[in-house]
Amino acid sequence: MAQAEPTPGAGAAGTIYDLGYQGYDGPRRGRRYALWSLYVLSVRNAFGIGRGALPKVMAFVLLLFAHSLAIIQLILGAVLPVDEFEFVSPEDYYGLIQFILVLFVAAIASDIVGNDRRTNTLALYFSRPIERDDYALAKIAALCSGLLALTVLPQLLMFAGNALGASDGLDWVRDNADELPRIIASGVLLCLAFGSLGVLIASYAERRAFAMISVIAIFLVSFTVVGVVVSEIDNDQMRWAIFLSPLHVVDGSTHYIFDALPAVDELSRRGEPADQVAWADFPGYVWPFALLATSVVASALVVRRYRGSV
Amino acid sequence: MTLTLLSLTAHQLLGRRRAILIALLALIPVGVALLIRFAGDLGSEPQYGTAADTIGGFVFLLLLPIGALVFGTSALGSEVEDGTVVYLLAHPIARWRVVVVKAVVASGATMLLTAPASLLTAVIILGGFDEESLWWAATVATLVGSIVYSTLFVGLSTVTSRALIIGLIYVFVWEAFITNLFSGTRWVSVREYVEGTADALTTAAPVTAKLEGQEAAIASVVVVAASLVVGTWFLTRFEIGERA
Repeated sequence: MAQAEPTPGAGAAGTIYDLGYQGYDGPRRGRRYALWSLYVLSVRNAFGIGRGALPKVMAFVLLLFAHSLAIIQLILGAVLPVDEFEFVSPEDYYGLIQFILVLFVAAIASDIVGNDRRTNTLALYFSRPIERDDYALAKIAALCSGLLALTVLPQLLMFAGNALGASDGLDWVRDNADELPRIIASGVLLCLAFGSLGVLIASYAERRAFAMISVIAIFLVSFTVVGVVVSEIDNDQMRWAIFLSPLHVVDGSTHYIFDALPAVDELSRRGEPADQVAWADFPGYVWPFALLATSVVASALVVRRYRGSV
Repeated sequence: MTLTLLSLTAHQLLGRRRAILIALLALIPVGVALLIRFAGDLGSEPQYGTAADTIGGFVFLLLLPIGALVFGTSALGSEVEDGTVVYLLAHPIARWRVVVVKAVVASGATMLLTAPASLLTAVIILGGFDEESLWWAATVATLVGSIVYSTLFVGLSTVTSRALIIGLIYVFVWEAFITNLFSGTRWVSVREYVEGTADALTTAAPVTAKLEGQEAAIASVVVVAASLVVGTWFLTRFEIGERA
């Protein structure tokens, strides 16, 4: 269609100057489409797609490190002549890469939330059909799905590799088929909790650098403090402290889902996080529910944060 | 002129909210130490294992690198970000002097907030100045670590404007993850220098390190010197680009 000549008096009130603004009468896709677009944009930004070189390198370096253990397992499994070789077991995987996961959450959360604030695009978003709640939830969803690539993906890769490496792949899959739902359930719970917590912390920080440091500090400080306090103070009430450390709770949830909570002995209190979780001696289903509750509460707080003045 | 720059930078670093946040972070190990002292199962003997775990896990692993990252990358970085670096570089001060001053102030700020935390944590958990001189080792290692980390990050911040995220990746991926997997990388990990220094200065058995004291000292000096040279090199060729 050729561009219409600005005709005097055609618009509603273009009386003095007619600048030739055109009306839009194409399809209007509404709020849900805008929400979907924001979500897709945030996921792309998380991996640096459509951005400069450094965000890309950063995201993919972290992605590579998160996969490194799975890759080593595959290589060793293929080279060594042993049939059922296990370098990392799936229930320990997240514990081994937890620093990388925290770093990813810190970098991406501060990025997808902080950039809009820094460039003052937040006001633009809120003048569109997107509601404030939509914005908050889209950001959380984007971070959670970005995290899936660092948690569920390496686990699936390891699963597939183990199946291909076994002497009778089909048999191996049949024997270990129950691992698949466990991988997905534990990974999704982790992503929901970490994603919502990360966005929550980042949404309160004024500057990007602050947001990043705060996320890292809160995850790792709580982890270290709880680890030291539980191992050094012989007091039954201390078991409640474990709920204060998201990394411990994730360990508990993953081990419960894989039905692999370690046995308790007198050394558990000073052992690995999973041992400390087992020492706390809560019924196992508490841990996944704690993660779920964390995600719900954190998401609600983020929504509340964006309803106020930001 | 140098003195002016020193005091200006000190104001920049310590006068802001981030200094308060780092100070709060530094209070946490002391609080944990107090909790262990009064609620824990410490006997009358000094518990070297407990002290080494608390200081190693908290100060060396978190407080020291985070403090040095915050101060080291903002000593020059925040001037670049705010655009005040133009006025700094327009003054007739040799660039190496600028880099050295920034590194000195960043190291000093990091020391000021982390070394007392090490000392207090050790003294509280061990119930005084112990005979194996763990308190001394922890404090000196923290001081050495403050200098090496801060200077390294000042140097890094002259190279890139994203020094913070690169520094974070270095500390929490390289030092925490890769160095655990491949021990050959112990030579390129400041944390190993810190632990090597601590190990050399105390006879307490639970303090272990992958590097000898001398090796750690040499590596620290090399890293500090290299950071200053690299920092000067890049600051001499610093171009004030378009404001992002």
